[in-house]
Amino acid sequence: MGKWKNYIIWIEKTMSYVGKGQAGNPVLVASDININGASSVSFDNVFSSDFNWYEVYFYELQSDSSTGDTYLRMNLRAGGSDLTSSNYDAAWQRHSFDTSSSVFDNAAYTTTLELTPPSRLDNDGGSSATAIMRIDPNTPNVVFFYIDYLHMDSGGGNNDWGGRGAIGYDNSGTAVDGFKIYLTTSSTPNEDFNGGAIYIFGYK
Amino acid sequence: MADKTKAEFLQQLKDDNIKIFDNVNGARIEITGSEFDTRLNDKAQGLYDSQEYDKIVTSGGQHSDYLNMRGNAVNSNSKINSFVNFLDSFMSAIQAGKFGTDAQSWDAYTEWKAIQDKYTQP
Repeated sequence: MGKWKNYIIWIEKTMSYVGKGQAGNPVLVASDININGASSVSFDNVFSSDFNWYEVYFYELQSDSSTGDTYLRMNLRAGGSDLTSSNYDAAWQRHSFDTSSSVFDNAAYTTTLELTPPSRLDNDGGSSATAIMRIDPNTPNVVFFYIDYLHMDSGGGNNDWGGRGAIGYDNSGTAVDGFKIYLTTSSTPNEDFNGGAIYIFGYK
Repeated sequence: MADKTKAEFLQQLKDDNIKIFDNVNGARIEITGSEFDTRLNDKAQGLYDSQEYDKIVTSGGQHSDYLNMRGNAVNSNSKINSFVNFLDSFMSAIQAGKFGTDAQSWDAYTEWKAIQDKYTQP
């Protein structure tokens, strides 16, 4: 066993493993698994230069709204406040699970974002949004992030979508350190979440 | 159930002693004071808007969200909710003579008809 032990020690000293050790491992920065009943869910001071980039997992976000015109929306945040300048741009591509429909959505110079189009969540039991958002908040001038998502039973039955999006925010002079998601029939939070979880991981 | 005004929705929310919470960094924060009044008013407006929206989805009418309403209605209609289904409906109408006998000699129709005759429904 002696020579094998020495061999293993030699391997450990001379080789580096992608995915082992600190470099490359995701680190859980923050989470919220108790969003049921919350009107909005915010995270402040979670994005920083401590990590090169971040992944945000939105898992089965659900709404308590009884109507199909409730949108899932998001604002980036800095210093505990929403960033509401008309600096949000987004381009989305989605495909229906139920039909052969492909839809392209875009938003330019908006003050808030509709997440995971068609963005509508209601309480009919199957309506949910699940997404992975990748963000590099350290980019100077413009923060870019990318989302892959699944939006089930959006605003009524037989309306399931898979899609992805690219989003940009002009952050000149403002360091983005968090975000807020909420449900609304207008532009301010006026509906509550009915379940779901959010996890934020940092990567070096 | 009778329609409600925004004021009636607001009163209902007050009668229900509703509370409003935000989650910040995993902690639940109750909204109070003037911010609560503003948010409660937004909720009442949202309930009213939703009531009006749902009425139009059910019965039809004018709404700024008409494109999504049309899209959802098309998605739920098996005769037109995909290109293949729409084509099948259209060609079936030609087959039934709804566009006259000339349309039945249209080459796209004869190609479609040949495919229908080749692969038949059990």
